[in-house]
Amino acid sequence: MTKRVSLFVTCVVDQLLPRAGLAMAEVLTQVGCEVEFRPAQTCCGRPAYEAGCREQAKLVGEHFLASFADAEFIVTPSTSCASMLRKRLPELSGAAARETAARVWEFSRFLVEIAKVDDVGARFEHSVVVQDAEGLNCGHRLLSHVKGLEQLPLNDWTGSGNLWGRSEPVTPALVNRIVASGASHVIGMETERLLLLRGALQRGGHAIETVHLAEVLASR
Amino acid sequence: MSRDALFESLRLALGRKKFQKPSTPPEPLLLNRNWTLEQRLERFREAFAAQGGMLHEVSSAEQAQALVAELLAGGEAVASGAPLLAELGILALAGVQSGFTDAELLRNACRTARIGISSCHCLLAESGTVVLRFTPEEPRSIALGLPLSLIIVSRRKLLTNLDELLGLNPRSFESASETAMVNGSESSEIHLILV
Amino acid sequence: MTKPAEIRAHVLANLDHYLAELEKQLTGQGGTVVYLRSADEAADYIELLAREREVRVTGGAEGIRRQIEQLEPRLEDYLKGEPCVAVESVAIEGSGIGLAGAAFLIADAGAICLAGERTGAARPRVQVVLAGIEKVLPRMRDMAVFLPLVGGSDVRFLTGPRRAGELDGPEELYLILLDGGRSELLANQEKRDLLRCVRCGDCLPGQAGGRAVTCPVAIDIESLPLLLREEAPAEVSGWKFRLWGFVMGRPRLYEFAGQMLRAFWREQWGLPAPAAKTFRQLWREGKK
Repeated sequence: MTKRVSLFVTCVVDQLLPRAGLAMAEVLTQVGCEVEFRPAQTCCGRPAYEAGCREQAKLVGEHFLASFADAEFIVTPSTSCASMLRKRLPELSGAAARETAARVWEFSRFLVEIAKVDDVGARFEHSVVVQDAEGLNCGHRLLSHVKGLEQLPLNDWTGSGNLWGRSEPVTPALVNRIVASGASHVIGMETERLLLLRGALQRGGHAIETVHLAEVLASR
Repeated sequence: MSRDALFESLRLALGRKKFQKPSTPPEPLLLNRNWTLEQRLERFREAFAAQGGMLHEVSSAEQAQALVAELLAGGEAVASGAPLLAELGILALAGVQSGFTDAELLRNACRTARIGISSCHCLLAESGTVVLRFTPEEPRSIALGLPLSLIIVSRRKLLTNLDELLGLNPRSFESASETAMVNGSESSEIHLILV
Repeated sequence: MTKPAEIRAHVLANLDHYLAELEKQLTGQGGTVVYLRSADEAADYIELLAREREVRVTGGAEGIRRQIEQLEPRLEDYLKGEPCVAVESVAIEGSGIGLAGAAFLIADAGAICLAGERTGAARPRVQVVLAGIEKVLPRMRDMAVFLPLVGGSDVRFLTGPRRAGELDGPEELYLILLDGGRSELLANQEKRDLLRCVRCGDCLPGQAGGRAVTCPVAIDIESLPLLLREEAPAEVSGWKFRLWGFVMGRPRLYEFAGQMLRAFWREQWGLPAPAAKTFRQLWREGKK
């Protein structure tokens, strides 16, 4: 049965990384979903929540709930926004939010767990490094089926940063290592992190492109 | 607050008895990379330069002397009592003051000199770090107090990373009054000569 | 649990033991260890010390107290995300007495770790270091996992005042261990884990840059600091977020704000410039 997907692109993708949003829509259409975009959407409320302003987070969260009340699947390119909506919003807004929140899916998880696709038929003939975000096994699974993709290792972080699987901060050292890896693209699975990396690479004058997982999966 | 009252309240909060020994603490994992000297050198060059340090590599005492003379450019420098500096003949160069045994004399010399010449405890390749250990031979004001810090050290002192330094002899820190780990500097210029 | 979290949990469960070991070791190396209840007590202590050493203090005890609060903010204030300076040294007057905040204390080496920028710029005759009692770690080799968490271009390990034969370095080294409500936090089962914090700053608003943050010492950062921030949200965020909430609840206003963002974008912000068109514009165009 065709799945009806409503995109929640997040404010970051809407304003700063629109290509990731378009690519996500393309991939979802390709795997047989019916995709819609609701222009009433804005933000998930996370910035206020993280700053301790629960009232404002709740207000914006309720705007989200109103915008997506009758959506079947709500798919978003950001793990942190997905987690804000799934876990935190119900804490703020109670039972009413729980039901809608359970329909929110991070893009790669939706593909693997709901659409049940591992191979989206993508071809991406570049040498890449993957910027890990924690718990994105689905993303790795999808990438492993992309044809032509050469995944280069990113040397470990100084000391022991990767021992606990924590995302490494975007530091000049990380940028140096990405440059040293010889990759032409960095694949990010987390929108804000991707943005920080893009900024750091641009400031350093490096011609390495930053792309969201969805953009890789959409390329042929 | 009295020390004893604090300790008493801590023990109460934790349910511990006086002088009760703790269990063995969890062991940190030290990363052992086994890099060859060439790998360490390559990494250090990159990391040190990335922090704005200037690295010079020489293979003889003559080259080291010539390089120091060039950096001095007729100016004045103060040098530490590190044995390596004497071995390389740096102390005999014109304009280099050394052999300080008096704090007042050292302070005065540092007021006029532009360059401080010293050696260091070791280097960490992975992070491009210079590890300085301050002793009677290696005063702080020579190593880091002047507009230009010139550090001369043997290639043998190039370790892989912090983990290696801590794994070697973690108790060496107490042997001096201070150990500094420097990654570049905004306030002064750092030149390093690897011999 | 992660390795740093395990080590921090172990230290907290045996805090009296490690403080005693640190004290014994550092005292043996010529340092002086003092336990004080609050920033006020510390300010009085330092002012008295300055008077004894005949060092003039600008701003008096009140000025010192403000510096102390900046160097060693209360854990609760720190996690609430209140602005504070990074760990740095400040000299009170000339190079008489220097104040610094410690990043870590290492029990077996009797060492004080300062981490930041230019931590050693001042060369005072009397070095005073402030540290919360929770900052202790068992062994020097623990730094292999903890130092990468805090970074800083300039890291120092102070293992006592200058030794015999040394021509410089502080003549006296004081370590002021501040309780500042920490022993109460330790007794509070719900909040004790907060004391594991090593102040890496990753979870602070603004620092996180919106990415999913995993606390290296496994503090439940999604609820504990929020619990604190919520008790008293940072004042400046208050009106900012009210405005933000107002905009985010109104799609048209949000779209307008996005256009304003483009019109007034500044490269100095250090972020990639926004795309020429938003997703919603592109989507509308694609559907036509």
